[in-house]
Amino acid sequence: MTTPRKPTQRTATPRVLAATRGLASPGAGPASLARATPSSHDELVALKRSLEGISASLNGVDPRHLSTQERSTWAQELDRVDLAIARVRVSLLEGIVAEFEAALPELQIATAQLEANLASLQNAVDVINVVAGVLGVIEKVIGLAG
Amino acid sequence: MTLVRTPTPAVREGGVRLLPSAGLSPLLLPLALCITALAGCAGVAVQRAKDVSSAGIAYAQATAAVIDVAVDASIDFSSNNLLLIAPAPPLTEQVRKERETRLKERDALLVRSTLLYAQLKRSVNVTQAYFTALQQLADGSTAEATETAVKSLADRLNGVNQALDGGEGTASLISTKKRDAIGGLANLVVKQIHGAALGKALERDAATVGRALALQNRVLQAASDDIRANLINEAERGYRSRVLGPFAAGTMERAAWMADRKTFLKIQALGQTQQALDSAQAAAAQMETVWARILSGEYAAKELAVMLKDTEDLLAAASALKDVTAAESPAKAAAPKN
Repeated sequence: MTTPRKPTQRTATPRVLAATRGLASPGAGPASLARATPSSHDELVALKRSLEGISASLNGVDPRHLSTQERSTWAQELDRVDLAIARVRVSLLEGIVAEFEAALPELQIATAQLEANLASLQNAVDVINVVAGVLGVIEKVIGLAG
Repeated sequence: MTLVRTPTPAVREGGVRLLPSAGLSPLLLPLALCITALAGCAGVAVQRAKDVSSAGIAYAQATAAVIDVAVDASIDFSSNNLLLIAPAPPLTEQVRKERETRLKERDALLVRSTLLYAQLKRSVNVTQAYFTALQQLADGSTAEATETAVKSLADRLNGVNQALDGGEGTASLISTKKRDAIGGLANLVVKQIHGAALGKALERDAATVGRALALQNRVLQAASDDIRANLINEAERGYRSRVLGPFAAGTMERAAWMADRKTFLKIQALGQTQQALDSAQAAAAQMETVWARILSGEYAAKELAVMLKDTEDLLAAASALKDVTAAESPAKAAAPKN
């Protein structure tokens, strides 16, 4: 029933290869994952979608219709794909986090500037009100002196 | 100039208040007319800032909601796969150890991705804070307050003048008509300053916000992919066990089978809505283009909301899946165990 996404054929960069190390060597840990750069982001997205497509295809197989040997191979493949997806996800999110973190200071400065703009508009009214208040006091002082 | 539009009712009202008959010197009339025209531009900038900030807040909130669902979806996706390939007991000690190691490895990755999603949610909140500040500035016009303050200042000047001249009968330094006209002028000047501040802010922050929105779009896309992958697998699994299986065996219960069939087919369809977006780069570039066009006035801020349509469909599918799995759990618990 499922229409899995078509695996994308691309030449993988070293970062993408590092992220998918689990497919080749199941022992590689998360600490060894490379961080995604903007240039590798697209490749990681395509790779993850491709792996998710494979996972959907494997999920579409009814294991009851497989022989013992076939079932073992199928389970191994599904397991490896699941691990690879988790690795690629981490690498992909690390890349976005790094880029977002780099962009945040500028955004925070922009937010502070907006708040300062609002405060300065309110300050102008406050200054006029203070001047009017001082004039009111002067008026009363003159009245008392008179 | 694209910014010049039909004056808003407030601007027309301001213009009427500045007519010479209201007490303003004819020499000030050209100035008043200039300010009225500029206030028209300012009105457009204020409205644009209001629209953009509302759309930006909605976009950030939708992204945060998708992140929450994606965290659950990514864990469920892995759990379902592991359950699907689980060997039947009894298991040897070696197999047990292998399975334990395998689960720990996956769990470490899922903990890491959950933390990263949480970090991204905080970044999205910073974007939302920008739009909230923009909205507060757009809503924070001090034109009316300034008009009142200026009128009050004129009254105080008259009061001081009368006190210095020492009598109640002394003519006012500033007549009531002039006072009102000056107050109206101050109102328009502040509107112009307010609009100019907003226009300047939108222009100043265009690149920064455009970049943040593009990154937010990447977050949305990554999170949507996780939700979609889980939906597709769950729909496949549910369809096989609750629709196809009972149908082939002829054991379906009419109402439940019809409901399950409808649910799983819809989840599957909704889970595939964004598959046309093949390139993350294209989507991010699209977001930056949309943002630039909104700022130039070519697009309405609604375009940001339109970009969320697919996301809404995806969240609806995730919600439907949650409902169906919630209904499935008590049924499983109640079913006799073999």
